[in-house]
Amino acid sequence: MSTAKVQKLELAQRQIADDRLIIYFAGGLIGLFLIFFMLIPVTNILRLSITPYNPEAHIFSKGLTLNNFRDYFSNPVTIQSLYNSLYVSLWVTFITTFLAFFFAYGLTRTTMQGKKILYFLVMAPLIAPSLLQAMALVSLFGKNGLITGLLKTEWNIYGATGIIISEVLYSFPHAMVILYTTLSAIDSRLDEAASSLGASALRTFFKITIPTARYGIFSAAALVFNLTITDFGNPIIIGRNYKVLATEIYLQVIGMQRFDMGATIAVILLVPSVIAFLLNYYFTKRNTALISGAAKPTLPPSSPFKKRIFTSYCWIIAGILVSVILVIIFKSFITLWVYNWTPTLKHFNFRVPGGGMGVLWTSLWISIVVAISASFLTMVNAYIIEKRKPFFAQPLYLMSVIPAAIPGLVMGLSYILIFNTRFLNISDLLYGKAILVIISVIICNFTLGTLSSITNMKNIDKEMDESATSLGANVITNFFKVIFPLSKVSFFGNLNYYFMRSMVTISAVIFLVSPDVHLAAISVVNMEKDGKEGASSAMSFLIILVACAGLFVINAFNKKKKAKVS
Amino acid sequence: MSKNVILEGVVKKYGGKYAVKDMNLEIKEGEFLTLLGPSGCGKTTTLRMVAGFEKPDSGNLIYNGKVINDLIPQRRNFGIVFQSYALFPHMKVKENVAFGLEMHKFPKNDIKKRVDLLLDMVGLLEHKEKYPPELSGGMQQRVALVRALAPNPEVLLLDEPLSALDAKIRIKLRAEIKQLQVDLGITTIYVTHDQEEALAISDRIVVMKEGSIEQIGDPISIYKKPASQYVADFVGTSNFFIGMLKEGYIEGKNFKIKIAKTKESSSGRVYGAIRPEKVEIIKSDPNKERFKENLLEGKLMVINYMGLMVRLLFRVGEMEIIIDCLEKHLEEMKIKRGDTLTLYLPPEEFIVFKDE
Repeated sequence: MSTAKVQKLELAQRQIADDRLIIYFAGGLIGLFLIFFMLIPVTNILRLSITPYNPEAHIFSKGLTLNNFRDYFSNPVTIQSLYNSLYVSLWVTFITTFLAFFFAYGLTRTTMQGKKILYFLVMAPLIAPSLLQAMALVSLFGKNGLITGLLKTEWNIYGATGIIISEVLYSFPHAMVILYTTLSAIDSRLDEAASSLGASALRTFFKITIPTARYGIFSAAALVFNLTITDFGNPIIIGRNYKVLATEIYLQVIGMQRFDMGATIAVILLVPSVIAFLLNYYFTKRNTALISGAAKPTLPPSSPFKKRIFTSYCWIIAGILVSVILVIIFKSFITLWVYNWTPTLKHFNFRVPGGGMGVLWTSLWISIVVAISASFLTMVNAYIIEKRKPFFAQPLYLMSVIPAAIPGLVMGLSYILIFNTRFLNISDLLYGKAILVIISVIICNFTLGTLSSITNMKNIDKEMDESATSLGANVITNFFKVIFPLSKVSFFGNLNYYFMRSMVTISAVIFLVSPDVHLAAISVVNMEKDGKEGASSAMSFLIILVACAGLFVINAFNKKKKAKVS
Repeated sequence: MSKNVILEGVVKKYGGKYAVKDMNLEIKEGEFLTLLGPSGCGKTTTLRMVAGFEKPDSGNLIYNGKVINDLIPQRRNFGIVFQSYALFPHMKVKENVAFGLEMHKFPKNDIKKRVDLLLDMVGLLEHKEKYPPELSGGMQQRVALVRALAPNPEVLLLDEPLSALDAKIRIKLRAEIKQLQVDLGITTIYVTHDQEEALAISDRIVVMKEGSIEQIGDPISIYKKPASQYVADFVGTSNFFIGMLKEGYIEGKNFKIKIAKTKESSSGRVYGAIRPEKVEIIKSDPNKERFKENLLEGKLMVINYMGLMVRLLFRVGEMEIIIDCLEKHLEEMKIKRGDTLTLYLPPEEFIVFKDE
């Protein structure tokens, strides 16, 4: 029998439906998407930071120069923004991690009441744009703030203090989630074993609890640092003359049309942000390795004293986080904050390009498109990386993880620098259009969606996939009939995440909005900067309402689906 | 053309390490063949290559006269059953069974009929509207079995299908699998690390070790004539006497045992193996002709009741000797723990292996 001949025949036959070709095609498309909208723009911004620039004509010329970096580091005014960023971020990192740890400890290691509602309440900052904290602080403690007036003091909330407080409030839930997961995954019987061996409560806490949770603590700290140093919304509102890197980039680009300095400072901002990301990534890996899947024993009842302490502590923090939102909601119905308390609806009569309802509608439909496409895209991506492992799985994974290291502001700037030039014909198609905003939001949040989908894929038995395959299903049927239904939970989780991010994000899109595409969160920034505090509060309130409504719809849909299955 | 599954010099490496080393094997049409070995011996890798989930690094997989190395799993039409069942939890039992039929584009009416027929065969017809997590492990594995059989596969592959089940259900289900296989006459490759299961269910057994075949044979010859010390140890239980072979005797530290027959005419270090059920306990007068040699004094340390049988653990000097006998014999002889007894090791029951 001629083997060679037989083999050839089979080869021709199998190519019709070879799963590998489909995987190569889909994975290749995702890879190209990431190369085109992440790798190339970011490489380009690195290149532009060392390219000579003509400030009068606003054009880059050919050649290579380090002038921008020299200018930045030799000018005491500009270099101050780097010091400020680091100063503020380190304080926030320390304070948030500390506060969030004890909050998570209360939720996981005590038997106090109302843990679920507390968890829910501290998530509040996630549904609001990251300038709400600063807005609320100014309203209460600013020059004309309510509490400032009541106490008749003259303190100064603007600058570093204001940024630090608002960023602590903003980053709190992010750190809390990590620490909560860490503490609930670590076997609390370790603590019990230590105390049964005679260790005091304090000793147990420092010798057992803290060390076993250390990687979770480090990873939360790194994340908080990254969130703070890359945040734009809060410092632009409450920083005033206190410039940080993110606001400096914005001022250089929008205020002075210095695209070169924008690119340079963006590269400078990239350094701490990438370092923080790498640390976070490393500690997260170590943390997951350390966490055991052991069954969780029920907690022994905590002492009444401990319960009282943690209950008050947690409620105070949750109260502060929620009152940030309440202040803003309240403010949107007040004629003139502090001076005229007459209730009014006039702030909802927006005078913004596109109209108030227009920007809200744009934000909404863009968020819906982002949520659906990003959830789907990251799921396919995770399936390819985790389950099908083509030869390019590693590079694809790497590219999927990089976006988390790149600040939204830098990504947005890199888009205008590459798509705003006549350099590419495709720019007309993209720049100033909603599609670029959508892509930017997807790319900026690509990592978390992919990683959570990968975790989900890991939980699906490899044999599930293989059963379907051996029963004759090709990869597409397999994905839609088996993998997708089994990934519903993570899919809806990602829908929630992308919808929320897209509704409230500022930094990823602030450079990309145009008269055609104006977004609600950006209009909040502009109105607040213009002193229209009532209107900006009203718009924030509407964003929160829409975000909540969206989450409600997504979860109602999810519940219905679940009910059908079980 | 024969519908035998043939492995021709198949090699599979993972990161430079051999998972399967030059495997040559022919599974005959309609045969029930078991790959037996400890974890890491390459049995599952072999099965996965036959299924098409792994590709051999070299060598050929031949089926129906064709090399199928490059054939995608969907086109092989081999059914596979996994240890984890791998039932689709979001589909009803009947939908699980129908899945393969739909993929193979069976007519709608036929699918319904066939699903009912198959579920009836394993006594699960009344559960067809349920979801897999609502069923017991044994039921789930039955569903997995008929799901694999539904599209009329030409070969059935079973990867430790019973390992996740309770001992009782395991024995019941393995009889059912065997019956189904005989009724359908389907070529079957079965992977297990459980030697008892392999002996009970197989037409032929392939004992594997570190990626290679150690012995192929029917269950009786594997048990009675193990080809190596490894097989004698892995399949069933053996008492080993390690010593120098000299003129029909194995000489150890403090024993000298006569053996009746040996292939190893040369001298050297050997393993003499004897099955636990072949060792005799001498209670009556040991002065008969037959008992001149191979007598050992042992102290009974442990008695394991296993129902009909008992397993006795004796300490003989520094060695331990295991003896299996009927429970009623134990009772007749009035033996109890701590007794020192004379053990007889019949020379004709020894099998001798060279020390490797």
